[in-house]
Amino acid sequence: MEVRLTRVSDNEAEFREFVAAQMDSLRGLAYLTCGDWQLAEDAVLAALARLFVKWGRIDNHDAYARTAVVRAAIDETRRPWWRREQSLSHAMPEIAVDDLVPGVDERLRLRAALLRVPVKHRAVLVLRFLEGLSVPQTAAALRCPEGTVKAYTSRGLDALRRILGADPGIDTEVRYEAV
Amino acid sequence: MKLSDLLDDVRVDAPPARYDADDAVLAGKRLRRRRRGGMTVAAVVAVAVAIGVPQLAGRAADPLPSLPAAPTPSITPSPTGKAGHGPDLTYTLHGFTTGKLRVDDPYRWSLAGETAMIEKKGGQADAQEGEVTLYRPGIDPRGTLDGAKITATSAIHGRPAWRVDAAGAPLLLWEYADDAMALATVRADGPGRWALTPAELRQVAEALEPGAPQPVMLAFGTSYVPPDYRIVEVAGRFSSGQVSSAQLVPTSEAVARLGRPDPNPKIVRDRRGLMLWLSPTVPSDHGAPRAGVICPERVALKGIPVEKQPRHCFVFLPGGKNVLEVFGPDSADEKELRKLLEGARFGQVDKPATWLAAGTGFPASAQVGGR
Repeated sequence: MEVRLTRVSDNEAEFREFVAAQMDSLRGLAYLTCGDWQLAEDAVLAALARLFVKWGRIDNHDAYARTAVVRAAIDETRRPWWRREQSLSHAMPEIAVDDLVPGVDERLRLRAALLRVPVKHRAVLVLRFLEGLSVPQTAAALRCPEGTVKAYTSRGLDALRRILGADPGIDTEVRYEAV
Repeated sequence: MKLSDLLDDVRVDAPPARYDADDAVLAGKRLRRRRRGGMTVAAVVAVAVAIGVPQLAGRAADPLPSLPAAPTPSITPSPTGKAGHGPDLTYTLHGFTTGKLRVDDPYRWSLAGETAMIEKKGGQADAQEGEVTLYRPGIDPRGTLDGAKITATSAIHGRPAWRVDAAGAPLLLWEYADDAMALATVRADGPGRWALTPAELRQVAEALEPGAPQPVMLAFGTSYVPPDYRIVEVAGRFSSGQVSSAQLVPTSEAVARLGRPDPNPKIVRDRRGLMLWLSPTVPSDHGAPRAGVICPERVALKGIPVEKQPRHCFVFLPGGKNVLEVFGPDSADEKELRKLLEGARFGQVDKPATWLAAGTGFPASAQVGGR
């Protein structure tokens, strides 16, 4: 019994250490997937809760957490209150428009563009190009066929190109590697 | 520039974290307990409290009434709009297309008016570009536009109109009927934001004509709501993430809302009364489909003691793919929430033609002015 308690305690300590080290990165990943910091944090918390339960049975905690976060972030955007909360913010916008006018920083432009890509396509782009997952790995993470991943990759990049204009200024080499 | 650079970039701009390792450990332990016990606390409560929409914890400025014993359930036609009554549960705006813009049928009814989404052809696939709200006669939304610059602009169908500049967003306010105003807004955040021009908002205004009242349809109804609670808002829209919802608040608060714009949801978070949500099942939150009403055990969260945590119960729809949830204040009587869900009736979620008219799907007593 004593051994078991020690193991549980060790696991929890490892988990805490992992969370402290990875929280910022996971939050960013979730934000890029769902486009809302509050939803992103809820998604991260949900994903970490699952990771905590499976901690001792998973080899690659980092990979598990990252795919779980992306999946959870997609789920968050499907919750019924999301659309409503989004729409209720129309009357009094809280975000300045400056970052969307021409001449702004390229990264802000790309980030804004990514958030305009449909959420499923965006999730594929995030996993493929931010997380560096292969097509089969992405398909497994999102629980969809590999063909869907390929199609979403292509459509997502096309959408980015359309949004950003003829010269999106992104590393398009990855596109052909991806599909 | 590589997409992968975005991750480093976005971390720099991140707001302070709301959760830390302690929260993650607590959430993990709750999840493990639920999986072992089958029916303890649902993560959806944690998420709901964090998001704040159904946050009904007892920090309200005006205490919510405790829910008394149930009266005999009844379903009667909704009252009509007599003096002292709230508006009928009907929509007068009907979807239409003008140029590249599509105004959908309304998705939201409230005591203050009805709201429909504006979508732009060739725009964002999974998000609307704007919204239009028709306010009920006598309600002036300008009071909700604090800090906005409001200037008169050319008339629309001979009636006055105003351009509203709110933090860079061009909105359009106009009189669409005698003593009745409408507000067209452009999405301010997330996908699809800022995608409508002032000219396009005007295009919507010029094409909009209210029609004959049509019943508000929801995927659920119930034969019982706790006494002294009244419907102030319902929303129903078939999409992957939202099916139907309803909000009920104490009668005194509902009556106080008559003739005014809807309160800012961020301000009245603690006074949201009962929130009913019908949405797809989330296995990690709701567990495996099972019969009966489920009320997960509450736990302390984010420094709020267990007795101040909101009440939460849910029931699976036939087939288990969807779930109807009710969130209530900490003072709510769980028996009342159970009774509300036990009286629930459903249409087929994927067949809106089978949905129920909100005006008759709830007891007449649940409408403002009802008894």
